[in-house]
Amino acid sequence: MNSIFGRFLMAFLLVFLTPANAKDSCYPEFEISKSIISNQSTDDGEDKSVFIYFDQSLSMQGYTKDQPGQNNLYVNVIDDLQQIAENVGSKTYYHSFGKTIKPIKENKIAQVIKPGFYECTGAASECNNQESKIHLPFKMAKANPDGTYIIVTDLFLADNQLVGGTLGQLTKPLKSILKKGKSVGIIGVMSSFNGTIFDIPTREGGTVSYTEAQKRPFYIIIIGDQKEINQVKKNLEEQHFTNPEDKYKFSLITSTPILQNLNDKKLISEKSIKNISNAEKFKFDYSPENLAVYKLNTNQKRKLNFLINNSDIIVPGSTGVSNFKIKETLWVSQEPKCKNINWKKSKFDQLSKWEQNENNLKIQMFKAVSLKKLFRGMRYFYVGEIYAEKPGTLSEETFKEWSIRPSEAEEFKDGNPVEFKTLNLTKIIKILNSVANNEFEPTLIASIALDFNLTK
Amino acid sequence: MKNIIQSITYSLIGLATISWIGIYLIVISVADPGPDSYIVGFFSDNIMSEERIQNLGFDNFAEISTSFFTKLFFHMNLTLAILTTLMTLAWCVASHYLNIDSPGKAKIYALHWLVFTGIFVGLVLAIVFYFTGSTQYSSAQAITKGGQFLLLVMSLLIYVLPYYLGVLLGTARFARSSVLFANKLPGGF
Repeated sequence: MNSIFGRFLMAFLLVFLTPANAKDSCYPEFEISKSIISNQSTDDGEDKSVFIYFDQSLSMQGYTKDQPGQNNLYVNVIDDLQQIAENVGSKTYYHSFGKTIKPIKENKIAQVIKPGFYECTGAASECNNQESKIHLPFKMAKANPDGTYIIVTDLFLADNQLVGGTLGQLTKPLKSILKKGKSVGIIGVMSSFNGTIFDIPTREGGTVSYTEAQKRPFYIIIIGDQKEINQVKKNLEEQHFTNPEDKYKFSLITSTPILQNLNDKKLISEKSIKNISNAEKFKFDYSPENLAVYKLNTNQKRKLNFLINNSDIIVPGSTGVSNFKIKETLWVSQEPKCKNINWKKSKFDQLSKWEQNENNLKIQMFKAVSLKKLFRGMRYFYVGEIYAEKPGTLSEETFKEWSIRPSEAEEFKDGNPVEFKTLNLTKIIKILNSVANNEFEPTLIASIALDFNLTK
Repeated sequence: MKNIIQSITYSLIGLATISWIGIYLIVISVADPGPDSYIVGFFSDNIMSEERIQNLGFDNFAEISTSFFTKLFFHMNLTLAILTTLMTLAWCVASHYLNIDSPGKAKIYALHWLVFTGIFVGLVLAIVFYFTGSTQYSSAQAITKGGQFLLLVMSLLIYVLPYYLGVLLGTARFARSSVLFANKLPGGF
């Protein structure tokens, strides 16, 4: 008996309730843009090769000599780099670079943390320690983009290395690397230093040396997938940067500073719009196309602020986003009931405004065109697609305090600093960022819809 | 009683001379004038904000005129017509009970008539504002400020003028001096 009743009830529900629900979500016809966030390579590291390049210029020698009272992070980090590299890929190849790239045999790797590695007894023109052509490892990365590249350098680049053809030698391979979906991570580590810093530019146009520095940052540049870059960073943080006194900075140069599309992982919830769940007849759901749809009855006084945590959309350490665009459409129907619905597309193309602080992005919906400008008693359907339109400059700010401009270098040196800064660091980051920004494409972050009746 | 009935008849005649416009508006409103009618065109050109309507995606006011006429405009005119009729008849009946027992005393009641008329005009204004400016009717949002003023002037013409004609003809003969120009009417009227 119960079974017959149950079947009857099911049939009743199917016949009467299902069409009712289907009719209830009578949306206007529109197409939702698809997320274009590229999924980075998901290959495991087993078949990947890791190429490590050590800057062999003489200025690097100071990192290898202990400075009393200072923590020598260079020696410790480089010592562990082999193990860290093995976590990322299956095979590791070591090279030094200066004037040219030279392979380092496995049994000679330990020499990298010895002062002798940076010395040259031959004629200066034959030596590899007189300059550091940082574009050479980038060229290698361009030639074989499947590998992961780790470059250890002091990034002390003179003005003439950052102009014209020399700059092009760096930016062209970088462009190609970024185009292939790779990113460049820069980890700056403040380490003890006991040596000579060469090629400090003077106001007269020459260069001078400085030997009094006790601390100086060195940089580990990682070219590869964001996943691998983060893995290297995480390993270093866990193994070496445990002491609060250890100073390190991280920046990610990438053409894809957007972490994810919020709809793909259904990260938009009813809490994303403050107090909206208090509205009359409120309902929240995802459409089959993953569009987050808020249904409600509202008056004209309601504030609709859609909040997105920066941490949900911005890749940590990256440039972030400096400009957003909201692609919006509003439909209106005089008749609110589904059976009589007759959607008309409004002429408003900008209904909302956005503002961003260090923690979140706030979309103030119906701020540009207030709800008060809409007619009560009608049903509205709003679709907003939020795009990241322009990359930011966060990573430039990160390294600002460790950077010195050539025009200030001599004066800085004359102040006998204990902690020496890196020449043109901000400029280098800016250049790298601008290349990344050129490759940036507007990226869809989130798509939301509001289906509402406007009441008194 | 005979005089009162005569007064009511006269006042209704006075009302009818102009208030047929109001009745006409009520009838066409409730029947929905339709998008191509003259009145919809007039409202579209002079009363409504076409820009606001078109921004919302509608072609013009004609597309949403039904809810405006069958609700707001119908209710407003009906309310004004009832008020006008009641106020006119109320004065005409009340004028028969005014204590006028000596020559010249009727003029004293001119002040009463002015206050009564003032209240009536005030009520007309309040009703028009209620229907066109409050949140009670959603279609009122499409009315421009200029359109609201025009509706106000039109309502005054359509309802205050027949009220005046109604009280002019319907006020008791001995109280005519209390109504503006009513004493100019022929003695036998």
